[in-house]
Order: sequence, then C-alpha cells, then structure tokens
Amino acid sequence: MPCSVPSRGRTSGSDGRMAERFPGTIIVSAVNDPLVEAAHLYKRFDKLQAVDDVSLSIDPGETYGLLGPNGAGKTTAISMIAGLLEPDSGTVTVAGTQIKPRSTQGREAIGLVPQDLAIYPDLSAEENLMFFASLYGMSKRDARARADEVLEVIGLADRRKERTSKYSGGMKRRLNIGIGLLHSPRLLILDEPTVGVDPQSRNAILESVEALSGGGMAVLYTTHYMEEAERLCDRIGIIDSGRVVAEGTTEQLISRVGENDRVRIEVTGSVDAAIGHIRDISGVVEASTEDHAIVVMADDGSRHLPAVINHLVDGGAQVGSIEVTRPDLEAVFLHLTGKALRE
Amino acid sequence: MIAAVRTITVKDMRQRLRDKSFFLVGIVTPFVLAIIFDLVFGGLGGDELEVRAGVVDADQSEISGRLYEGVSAIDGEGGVTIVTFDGDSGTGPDGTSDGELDVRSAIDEQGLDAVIVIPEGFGADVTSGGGQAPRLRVVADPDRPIQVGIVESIADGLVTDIERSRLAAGAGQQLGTSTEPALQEADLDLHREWPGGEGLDTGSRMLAGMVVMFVFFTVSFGVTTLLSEKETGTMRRLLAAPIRRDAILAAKGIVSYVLGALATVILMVAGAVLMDADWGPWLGVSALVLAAVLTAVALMAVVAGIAKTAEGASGVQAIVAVGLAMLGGSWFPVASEGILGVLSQLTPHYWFLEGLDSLAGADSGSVVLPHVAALVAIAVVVGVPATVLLRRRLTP
Ligand SMILES: Nc1ncnc2c1ncn2[C@@H]1O[C@H](COP(=O)(O)OP(=O)(O)OP(=O)(O)O)[C@@H](O)[C@H]1O
Ligand SMILES: [Mg+2]
Repeated sequence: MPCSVPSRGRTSGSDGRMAERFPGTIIVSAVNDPLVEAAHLYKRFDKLQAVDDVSLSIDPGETYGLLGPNGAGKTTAISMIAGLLEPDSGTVTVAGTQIKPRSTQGREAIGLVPQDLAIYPDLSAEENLMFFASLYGMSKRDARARADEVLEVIGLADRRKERTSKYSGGMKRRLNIGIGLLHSPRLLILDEPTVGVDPQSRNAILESVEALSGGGMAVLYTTHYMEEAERLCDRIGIIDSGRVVAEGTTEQLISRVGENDRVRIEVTGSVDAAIGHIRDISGVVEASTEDHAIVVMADDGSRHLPAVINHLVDGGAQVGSIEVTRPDLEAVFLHLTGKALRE
Repeated sequence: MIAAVRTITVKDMRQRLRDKSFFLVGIVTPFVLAIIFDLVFGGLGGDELEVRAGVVDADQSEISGRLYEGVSAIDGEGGVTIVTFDGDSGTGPDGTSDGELDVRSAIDEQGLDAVIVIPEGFGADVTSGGGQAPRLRVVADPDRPIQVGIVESIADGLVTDIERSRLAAGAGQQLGTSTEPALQEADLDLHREWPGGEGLDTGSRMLAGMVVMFVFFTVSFGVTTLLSEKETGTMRRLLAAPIRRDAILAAKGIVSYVLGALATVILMVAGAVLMDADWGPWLGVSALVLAAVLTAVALMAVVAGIAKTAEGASGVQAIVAVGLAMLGGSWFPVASEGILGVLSQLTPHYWFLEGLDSLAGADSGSVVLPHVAALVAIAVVVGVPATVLLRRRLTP
C-alpha cells in the first residue's frame, strides 16, 4: 500500500525524501531546502527519557507522520519543534529560523493543533479565531477575512456566534484545527487531530489535511492510527519510547519486514507431515507452527492457500479458521518493537 | 509586546465580565454583607459608636493606681467615655458577690457598656515577676457586644503591656542583673483606634472591611486564569504564538488589577451614595485603593504560582483571603499589641482600614502616605517572588 497522493505533486525519491517536482507545483522555499529540521532532540522528565535523540526533516508540501503508541513521546517531540518546550539538547529550525522557547522568532511559520482541545469555551468560534489571529499580529481586517475563510472550511460558519461550550465534540475538534490554520502557516503540526471523532468527520479532517499539503504546506502529523499514517503521509517515522526506530515511506518501512503475506491457519491434529511439503511450494518463504496453528509466510498468500490446505488435509489435520494478513505498518511496528501499536 | 498584552487583556476582560462571578463575588456579596453587618451591629449609615466604660481599682496598690489613671485618661478619646469608681467607696473586693453586684448595678444605673475591674492582688502579681500572670476583669453588658469588645480589647492591650515588662523584669531577676521589678517600662500606651472612633462610622467601616476582603477574591479570578489556560490547553497556543511570554503574565496582572480596582471603586461609590459613607479626601482614598489592590494582586499571584491546579489555587486563595481579612481587622477590630498585633500589621487589610480611618475627617489626603507606603512595600515584597513563580508556570 503505497502512501503517495497524486495531488501532492511530488514523489518520493530514492533517498526517501527529495524528489523532482511536477510542473505547476507551488514551490514554497528554495528547492532542496527542508522547511523543518529537528536535530538530535532530547527531553527528560525526571527519570523518564521521553524523547531520546529524535531527528527529522520535512520538505514544503510534504506530510510527515510520527507514528507511535501512547506515551511514545510524540507530543513531547512536537512541543519542542513548536517551541513550547525547551529541549535538553538539540536544535529545531523552521523556515531557516531557529526555534527557541524564549524567543518569538520563526513562530509565524508554525501552526499548532494541540492534541487536547485548546479553545476557550466561554467565547464563540469567531471570538476564538479573532483572538488568535490578533496574537499572530494580523490586522482586524485580515483577521476577519481569514476567520470567515476558516469558518467555511471547518463548516462552522452558521454557528460562528455561539459559545463553543455549546458545540458538539466534533465541532470543537474542527475549530481546534481551524485555529491552527488561521495564520496560513508554512508548517502545520497536528497532534492526533482525529481522536474521538466519528468516521465521517475524521474523513473530512483527513481530506482537508491532504488539500493543505497539496497546497504546499508542510505537515507534521502524529497519530497512533496506522491507517491515517498510511493514507496521509509521504514519510513516516515510527517512534517508540522516545526513539525513532525506523523512518521512510510506507513501502520502505514495509520492505523492512519483507513483502510477504502472513497466512495463519488454525489446525487440529498433526501437521508434521504436511509442513515439509508446504515449505516446498514455490513462493512460500517460511512455514512454522504456533500453538494449534500453522503460520506460512508467502509472496502471495491467497494464491498458495489451496495448495497449503491440501497438504494439511492429506497429512491428516483438520483445518479451522484461516487468516491472511498483508504486511502493513502494524506488522512493521510489531517487527521493530516486539509489541503491538495499540493494545 | 504591547499589542500582545492588549489582545490578551481584552480577551480576558471579556471572559471575566461575561462570567457572573465578578459581579456576584466582586460587588454584590460584599455590599450585601456590609449592609447586613451594619444592620446587625449599628444603625445604617448611623452615628458614631459610643462606648461608656467604667474602671474600678479594687487593689489600691501603686501599680493598680497607675493603671487606673491610665484608663481614666482615655476618657473622651475616640468616642469613649470613662466613668471612674473609687475602689474603697461602695465597691467590694474582687470576686465577692457584693462587688459583682455593685458593678452590675453600676452598669445598669450609669448606662455603662462594661466595667474594667483591677482585682485585688493585681499589683502583687505584677511585682512578683513570676507565678500567676496579672489579670483584669471586664464585667459586661451582654446587650452591647461591639462596645464590650472594644473595652475588652483595651483591657487586653493593657495586660499585654504589663505582662511583657513583668516577664522582662522576672528574667532580669533570675539573672541577678536587676532587682527592680516591673512597671517602670510599662509606660502604658493607651492610644488605640477602633471602628467608630475619630474616623469611620460603623457602617462605612463594615463596608471598607468587606471591600478589602472581597477584592482578594475579585483579583484571584484574574490571576487564576493562568492556571485554567493550562487546563483548557489554550496555554499551548499562547506559548506557540509569536508573543513574549511575559506578555501573558502582564496581561493576567493587568486584568486582575483592573477588575479589583473596578470592584473597589464601585463599592466605595455605592457606599458614599447609598450609605452616606464619607471616605475623606478622594486623592488619598484613590492612592490607598490603588495600592491595596496592588498588594491583593501580588498575594493572590503567589498562591497561583504555588498551586497545582486552578481549583486548588481558588481554595487556598479563599483561605488566604478570609484569613488575612480576619487578621487585618476586616471583620472585627484586632488588638494592636502582641504577636497578633504584629501579624495584623503585616496584612494589607490593616493598612487599608487604618488608612481609611485616618482619611475620614482629615483635611488632606497626605495623612495616608505611610499607609500607602506600607501597602506598596508589601506589594513589592510579595510581588517579586510571585512573578518568579508564575513565570515558571508558563509551560505547556
Ligand atoms: N510534563 C511532563 N512531566 C512528566 N512526564 C511527562 C510530561 N509530559 C510527558 N511526560 C511523559 O513522557 C512520555 C511521553 O509523553 P508524550 O505525551 O510525549 O507521549 P505521546 O506519544 O504524545 O502519547 P499519546 O499518544 O498518549 O498522546 C510519557 O511517559 C509521559 O508520561
Ligand atoms: Mg500525545
């Protein structure tokens, strides 16, 4: 499952990052210059090394996914990239400016959508937007115009005057994202923006992220949903216990566990006779037994399935349920860390 | 920086004014409480508090004589009338039922609020330099609690003074350095101030006490939003924005200050209009109010700087606000001597109320300069650590 989105107008090159651009693509910064460069970030909370040597870079128009389980250090890492948190060591550069918590420089380039809702419940959507627009130094006129645009995009134009405490959870989430977009940042950081959102709103959110990235915005997207990462992201960093354990396109990451399907068949009775024959099938890479099951790794699991079952039945075993898994990020994660992405 | 401070200030002001608690806690409650207290304890906007007290010297020693003279000398000061009784004529010795009866009937006949009795053996207790502490008795008219309270606080102050020099003398004796006992140090300071004295009338005093107590609550709303911004997650956005972090602190401080000053001014104007309160020269009153609100902001900011959550902060702030108010004399007069007196003088309430007291009836607002200076000093001493603490809270 490749993760390329055609509208984005760029493909991943062999180095996994830089690529040729198609005509018509908006080039936001000088070619070959990443918009975001985070180098060797470390952050420790008391005894816990929350972020442990994280480096990443993101090009304009690129969507970078940080994929990791709860507590992996995603929020901590992006807090340092957004200049909220002082790293113990390491540097962050966005659009050529070094980002530091004590300095205001380079902040306009970043739009942040925090993981937890970050809106004022006692103000209306419009007032929330106008306030943050003003913090980003927009004039009243610009702010009003941009707020109108954003309210359209997030579908809250008709309820703009209502206090956000009266909004539904999904509406609040949309406003949360809208505030991050307000000042048209060059880097948009989204921290698990779809948590607690119904599938429909979730799809709408993913679509708008695709559109933004297609417009040349760099996106840093954290999630623990691998489907989202696969769909949105040009490149993915898999993060666990504060470390980026692997990085690349979805294809590159999957190739690390091999391109093979995994076929798991529950059996009763002896498989000893059958297993040798199964290994001999061309295309089958590996066959092994688990408790009450046989696991076959093959280049195309479904095609070899009849032959495998025949051998099992001939060998005197009875076949129960059958499961064919294509390799995905979940498998990559399992392979790299020995644990599941979500429990 | 200035634009950011303004933006956040305007936003916070809008939130606070939308929130009814500013009006309820900042304005309505103190006003209503002051009116209730005034109805209970004195006529609304009424006359000055008059205290009629008697003094009896049942001891007839040299020391009791000096004390007796000292008490008599208060006569005429700040609405207090002192009626003297000769200990030999008519009044029996302390503790006997005769004496008690006599004092009681004297209270009834002479319309006294209370009588201070210097009991027999008082002088001996003082000179002994150890053993039993000397005591004064106050016989009271139970229908006049406020007036009795004042007389009691006079008696308390006197005993405290005497006790202090007695203990000092006792210690000296033990060390063998001095055998001259007691009272030479106790040049009794009989000047005291209390509500309804030369300054504010009871109603105004009650209102002033409530005003200065509740301004702490009012300003706490402003400061505590620094913590609630963390809880609503909006702090992350403020920190991510291209603004100086100090702008956040400055805005919170300004909002608290403006709300506090606003509530105070509204209440004091309401007091002047509705309760005929006469606060004195407005320049002095303004200076006093502005300085008092500053200390309130600083003190509430310290609490917010230490607290973990907005809710925790509010709880502690309420305790601090009420505690300081009691200590500082917002509720009832506090003895100006002893440890309590010292503690009392560390509260902004004390200086605010004393300041207003001296302003009422004063010709010039400048009489309040020492009070303003004390308030500003408290604000600075507390405000600096408050700023340091709150700056550390500026994290996601
Ligand atoms: N302010 C803090 N103080 C102490 N520990 C912290 C702090 N912030 C985060 N941590 C710890 O650091 C680790 C990483 O947390 P972080 O929030 O970055 O994880 P995450 O990947 O964003 O997780 P999630 O998917 O649940 O949001 C966790 O173990 C967390 O408990
Ligand atoms: Mg997180």
